[in-house]
Amino acid sequence: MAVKVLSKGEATRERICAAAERIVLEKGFAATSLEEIMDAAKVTKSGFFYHFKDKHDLAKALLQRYVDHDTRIMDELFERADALIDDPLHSYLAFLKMFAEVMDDLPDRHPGCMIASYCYQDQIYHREIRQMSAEGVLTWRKRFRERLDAIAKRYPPRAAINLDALADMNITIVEGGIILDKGRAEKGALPRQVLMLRDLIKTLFAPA
Amino acid sequence: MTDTDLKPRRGEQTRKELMDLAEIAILEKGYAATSIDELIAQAGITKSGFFYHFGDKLELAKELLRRDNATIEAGLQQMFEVAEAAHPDPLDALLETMTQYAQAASASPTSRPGCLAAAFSYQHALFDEEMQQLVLYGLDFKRRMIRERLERAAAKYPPRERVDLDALADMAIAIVQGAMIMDRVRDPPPVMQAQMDLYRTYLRAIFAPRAA
Repeated sequence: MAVKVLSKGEATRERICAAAERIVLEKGFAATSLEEIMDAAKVTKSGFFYHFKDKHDLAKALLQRYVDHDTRIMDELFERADALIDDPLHSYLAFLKMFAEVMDDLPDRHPGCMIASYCYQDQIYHREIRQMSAEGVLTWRKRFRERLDAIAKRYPPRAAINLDALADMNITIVEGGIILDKGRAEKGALPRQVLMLRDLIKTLFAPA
Repeated sequence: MTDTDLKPRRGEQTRKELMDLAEIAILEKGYAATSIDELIAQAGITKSGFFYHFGDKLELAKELLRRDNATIEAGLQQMFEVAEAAHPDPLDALLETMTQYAQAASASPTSRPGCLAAAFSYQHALFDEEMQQLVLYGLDFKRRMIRERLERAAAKYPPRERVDLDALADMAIAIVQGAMIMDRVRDPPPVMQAQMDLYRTYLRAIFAPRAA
């Protein structure tokens, strides 16, 4: 993975975002104060406002950062799977296995998804936030759908399958898996659900 | 009727009204953004009226999740019983119940479907161990009830490969939770039922592969 060297300003901005994301995913955006974010990120008030106009500006930045980050991880894992395997189905299965491993290797449980966090709070009332969230899940759906189309061409599915729904299921299972992971005492629910999805896809496409 | 007959009933009604209002507010905008002041204004009672029923906002939130757990547990139990009465085949009954479960999860007193436990999970640092236990209780009874039916299906239709039935039961919960999040974020049409249909197709492929 390419490591980009950040300028000092970019590094500060990134530090603020990382601290804010951690706190927001623990207690929600409404309960998070700018003061505690500045404290956690070790920036001054003027340092913070140099990067963000206000709290809403930060909310948008956090969401965009999360969607971009997740998309990048997805693309990198798909690239790795494609480099190893030509077959579209087996590449997809390898992708899901690697994705489950990445989730399993997290030091703690998955911290949560910014889209889900906002959708359960009043951020959902902001038109821009809602639009960015909807665009985020549609971007992901499109990526999965393209690959599922290639799979369905080579492996006619064993039952009539709604491919958009199957593409969505990649997102659904991760979102739902995070909820399970948050609720259960032991970690591991999320990677286990990703592997269940892998088995579902294998079962629906692989010849009996 | 005397005053003493009326009082407790009116109290119970106020308590229920407060809980209904709080549930809607929390599902719409989260726990932190929901204030006691707005709830008492909507219910038309005083602050001391609120504190007569609930020690604080946290206690109200826990009561909501207790009530929600009880409602969902009873609802799911009834869905299974009705489906099992209509379908002698355990797999058919399970598939039918899953459709009902997804449908019930999509029905909501709020503008978008949602789940209290999920809302609280995304604000978990504001709560305590007892709340965590209530969330866990909700996950456990759903897993237990679905798993029991998966075992019956597996007894009649032995799967070709080993299947982790706990994970398979959890998958139904994950799909419902995930689809609710999708449907909160995206404009209609909802994705819930199509997501559940895929799960049902998967179950058929696992347990009755020839029929799939």
